[in-house]
Amino acid sequence: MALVELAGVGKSYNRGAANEVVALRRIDLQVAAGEMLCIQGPSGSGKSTLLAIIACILPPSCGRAVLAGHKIARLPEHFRTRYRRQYVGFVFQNFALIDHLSLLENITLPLLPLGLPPRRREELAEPLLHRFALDHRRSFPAGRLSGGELQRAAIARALINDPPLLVADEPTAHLDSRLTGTVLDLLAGLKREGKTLILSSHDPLVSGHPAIDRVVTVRDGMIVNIAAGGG
Amino acid sequence: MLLNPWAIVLLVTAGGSLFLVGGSLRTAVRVLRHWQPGSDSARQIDLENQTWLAALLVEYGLILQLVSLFLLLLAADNFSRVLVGAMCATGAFLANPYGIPALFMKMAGLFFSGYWLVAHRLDLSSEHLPLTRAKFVALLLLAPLVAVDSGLTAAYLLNLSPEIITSCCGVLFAPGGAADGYNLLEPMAAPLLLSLFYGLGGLLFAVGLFLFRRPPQPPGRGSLLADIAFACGQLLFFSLSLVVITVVISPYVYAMPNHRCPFDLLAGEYGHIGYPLYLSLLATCFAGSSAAVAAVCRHLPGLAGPAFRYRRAALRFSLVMLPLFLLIASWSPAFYLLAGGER
Amino acid sequence: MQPMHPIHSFGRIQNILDYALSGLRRKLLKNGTVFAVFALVVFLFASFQLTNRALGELAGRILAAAPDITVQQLQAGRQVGIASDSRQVLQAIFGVRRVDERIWGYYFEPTSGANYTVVGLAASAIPASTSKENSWPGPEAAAIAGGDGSSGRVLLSPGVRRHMGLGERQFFSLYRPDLSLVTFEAVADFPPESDLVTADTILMSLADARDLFAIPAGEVTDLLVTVGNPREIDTIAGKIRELLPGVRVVTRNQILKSYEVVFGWRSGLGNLLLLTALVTFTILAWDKATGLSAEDLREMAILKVLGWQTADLILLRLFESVLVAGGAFAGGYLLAWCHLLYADGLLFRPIFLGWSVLRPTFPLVPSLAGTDLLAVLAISVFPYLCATAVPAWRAAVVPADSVL
Repeated sequence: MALVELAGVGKSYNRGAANEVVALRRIDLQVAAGEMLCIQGPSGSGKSTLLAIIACILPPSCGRAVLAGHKIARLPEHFRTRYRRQYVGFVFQNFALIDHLSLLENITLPLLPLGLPPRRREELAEPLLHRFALDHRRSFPAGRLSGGELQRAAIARALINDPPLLVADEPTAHLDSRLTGTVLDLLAGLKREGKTLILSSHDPLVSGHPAIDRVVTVRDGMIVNIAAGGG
Repeated sequence: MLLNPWAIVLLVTAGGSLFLVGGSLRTAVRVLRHWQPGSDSARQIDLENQTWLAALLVEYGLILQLVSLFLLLLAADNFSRVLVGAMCATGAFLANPYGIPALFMKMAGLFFSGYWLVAHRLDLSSEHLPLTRAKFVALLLLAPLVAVDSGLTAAYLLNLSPEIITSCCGVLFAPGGAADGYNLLEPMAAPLLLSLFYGLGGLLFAVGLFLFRRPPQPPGRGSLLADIAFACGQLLFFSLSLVVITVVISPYVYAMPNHRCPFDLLAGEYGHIGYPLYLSLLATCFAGSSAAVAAVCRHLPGLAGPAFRYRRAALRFSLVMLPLFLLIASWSPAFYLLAGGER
Repeated sequence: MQPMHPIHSFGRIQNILDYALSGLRRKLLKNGTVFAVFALVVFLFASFQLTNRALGELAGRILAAAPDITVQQLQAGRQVGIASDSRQVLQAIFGVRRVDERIWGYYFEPTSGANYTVVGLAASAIPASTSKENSWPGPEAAAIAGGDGSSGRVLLSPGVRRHMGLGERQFFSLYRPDLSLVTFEAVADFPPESDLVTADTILMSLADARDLFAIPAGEVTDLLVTVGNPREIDTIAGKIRELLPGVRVVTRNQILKSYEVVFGWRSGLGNLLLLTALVTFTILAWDKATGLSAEDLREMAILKVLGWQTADLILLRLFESVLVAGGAFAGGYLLAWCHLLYADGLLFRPIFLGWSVLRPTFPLVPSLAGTDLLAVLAISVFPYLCATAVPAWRAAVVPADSVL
């Protein structure tokens, strides 16, 4: 069964207002569980909007969207949030860590509204810190981390809830080619563990990575091509 | 009396309530005009956000309503020291025709906003938000209630003057006393009242237990009527309890046969017994009657489960609080009768 | 399909509260200003309210001791002695239960610079030992009674005993106006709980007081009228004015009213309250305007993408408001209380001076009453919370995609 199913999904911003902008038109896409997908396209093509819809951040304007068997197209916001925190880990393009919080605090932020006590939160963060080689940085304020550390922290935070789906918006945009390789290898490792990954990028290093199963090209809000990836 | 500190406190809280309800009213009008479930238009998203605001304001309003109810009681107690002839809050409330209506209006507002919040919680638990429209229609009814309440409070304070001679509880509630026909509760004899009180309390407990134990019923008129009847019984019990506390129970607490006052129970001289007494009564009756709100909504899409769960929790809570209330209420009379004297 | 993440509601509240606290610590400067101004507002309001209560309790105790009607003779607008014979006239009025004579005066002691209140009561006016608790003088006064004549026995307050340097001694002397000495025996002290009313009092028999002040026989300073039915007091006061022209008739109610005029607390407090409310709302407006920085909004949006519900974010902002308001409230109230108790209302002395006219040495003892706390809370914290509801909501509904 597909983890993500989009059929005829469109999205306009400010719908009903004078400054309406069409971002996506009629997207049909299925992502199977365990797949690693790269969405590429020029900036402004609608990549980010597409990811936001898959990640239950935005509601689509029309069409059908299903995530892990739940219809997510016409949901009130708090239901979308509920599904998001259950099924989706989201990695922001600009990392979006909160500068004044420590690395550990940043990583455990999604656990706070679930009511987990501090010790339990630390227990959950521990293996991730270790895995992403962030052990020694745990009490650093996020504002003082390097670019590579920030990106690894952002991924660790997305994984703290152990979601089946990881959505990453331009995960390598701010990294040099060496760090890009490291991050991609990390993501590929997650795929091997059974996670489903959807990345957006316009970096050929990403779309060409051997772990990528399919490369979806988006232009002007439409899918223009779906090709098999390096995997 | 408007410059009395207590009057100012009451007016500020009344103003606060008005502000809160006024704010939510604006949302209500917009929701009723433009609500389109499932749309992602800018306006719909804005409206969805606004429903959060409205609910937040009503939640604040509920707390304010509860606090201002107690503030009104405390203020009346305070006024009784200034007003000629008033020896307790009863006298202060009767100093002009707006006092008692203001008090009852506050209680009505409390129950109503409580029911509204129950409906709101249920509404949020369904993906279809099936109650949104109904909820905001109800808000249109709640707003005038709060407005009338604030108006009555203001009128009460405005017309309160230390020169007006008022009466006292001993005159008003004494059986067979007061020849001027101003005795509010004379016709009801204590044995009759007590048997009604304990009878209805026992009946409500039994029916509540039955409704609680019964497995989920398919939506039908019969089970709905049972829930509604139970809710009405709870509200009746609330009113009856207030009368019984005033006429029969309070003299035992005061250890004075002619001191019948529902308000002095809150005072420190009597161990603040009024607070647990009234709060447990309020909790019992509100929870019990709010189960009917859930019962009414359960046929709506997505609400069967949440409504059943809420109803069960509310009934359970009511079933715990009811014996507690009866115990607190019976404590002083029972002690008096068994020990043959006051504590 | 995975099970839904369970939410531990208590832990959720705790975590969000923790997060709010750490946020406040970080924004210490901005919140510190709000906190300080808010605490100041609470301080002002609570000061007046606590003083009001202390004063009310004081007036209540003094009034409990006051007779229903006091009759004094005036001459050229000044008080002079009143003829004891007038007693019979008053006694004849229907509804008057009792008329007592009293000599009330001040005795200045140059050595200690103290001014004692000397009260002389006729034997009939001194209550039997079964007297009710609240009345003044208390049951101890029976000790000074010595028939109708002078007994030389007096009742002292512990304060007077201390001032005179009596220690454990019983006998002391005071000067008559002609500087001859009168010796008194202090048979008992007033109980400490009556100190509010009797702090500077020496109670003696009428004859002794007459002797001390050299007041001619047949005259006293005032006549005290006890009325059976409190509602008749004004009527009887009117009759007394008609029967004895040239006297001043003071009812207990008038004393109360004159207290109020002296204190002016009602209007003063009222005005201050309004001012307080105004200031509170000014802070709010300011807080509201500066509440939401771009950084705050970004943080809210990030939290939202990470799975925080709108309700969680509203709770977060609410906790911030509650912590600031609650802390400022506690701080301001405590400060007001300490200020009144330990510094004797030092800062407001010029404003409160009117109160010290009656009893300059009187300490104002503020009592902590739950109802007062609730009242101050209702007028300071609740308006603040109401006004922060809208900004809290506005921050909480920031669209999650705004951070993308």
